[in-house]
Amino acid sequence: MPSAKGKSVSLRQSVVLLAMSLVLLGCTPIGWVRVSVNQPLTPDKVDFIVPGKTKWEDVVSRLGAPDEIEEVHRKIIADYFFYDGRDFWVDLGEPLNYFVQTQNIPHNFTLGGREIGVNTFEVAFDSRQIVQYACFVRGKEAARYVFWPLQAPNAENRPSLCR
Amino acid sequence: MSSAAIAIRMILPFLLWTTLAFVGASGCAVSRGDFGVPFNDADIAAIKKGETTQSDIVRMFGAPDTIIEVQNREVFHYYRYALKHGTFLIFSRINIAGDELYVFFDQNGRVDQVLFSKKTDKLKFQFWPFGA
Repeated sequence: MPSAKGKSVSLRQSVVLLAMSLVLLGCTPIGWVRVSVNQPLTPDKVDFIVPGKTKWEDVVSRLGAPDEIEEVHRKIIADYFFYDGRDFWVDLGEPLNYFVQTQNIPHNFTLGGREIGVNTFEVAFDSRQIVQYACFVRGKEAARYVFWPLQAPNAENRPSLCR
Repeated sequence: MSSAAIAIRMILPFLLWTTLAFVGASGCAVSRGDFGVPFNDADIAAIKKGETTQSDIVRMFGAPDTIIEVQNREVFHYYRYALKHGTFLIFSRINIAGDELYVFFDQNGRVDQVLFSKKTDKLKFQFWPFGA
């Protein structure tokens, strides 16, 4: 039976983007918007996991039901999702409204960025339901408020993503 | 013109603009959204390992949102999401969380394992977009 992973992920990502877009409908000259999906798992909450030893039952009893489960070649993959979206914008042309007649002149000049950080925790179990690996995905550092859109994010430099 | 006067002339428009932005955007909003209905705790507690059948589960929770197969076991997956949003002036925050119910069945179609996590009950209304 095909996995439902693609469908499920896109649904959640769509929810985040939709939520951000809805807030932007009431656009102001300057604004900060934060969208969080779930609470993040921190390294201290997952440090009980020891690859090669910890079992499926231990993981789901400590961390709860995963947001997604799929099977890949007899392995179980369990994902605990966390998304952190940050949106900032400022319209530098807005002050002109207060000094000159701008009704018929394009004068908006908006800078900003919409960044979504991902801190999903993924645990893979072998066919005996013992942890094979447990890692955070790359992408947490993408969550930031950006004023200057021409600067790309830096490469992530976290000491260890895995247990 | 003195340097102080120049500084005031440069800073004044910025202060004026910021003030107007605050005034123009003045207002607040609180809203919520739900995708699906909450799970009934009594229904979850009524699921008995080795006894409850697929038909019972469907009768209690309806058709599953997704069905997956994990190590030759059929798994029914039910979920719901909740969203809480707060806006104060130019600050907005949206918190989203989901409740997940997985029901694993054995080869005979009886419940083998139940995983349930309820994250929506910890969801908060917030407007401050900074910090944790």
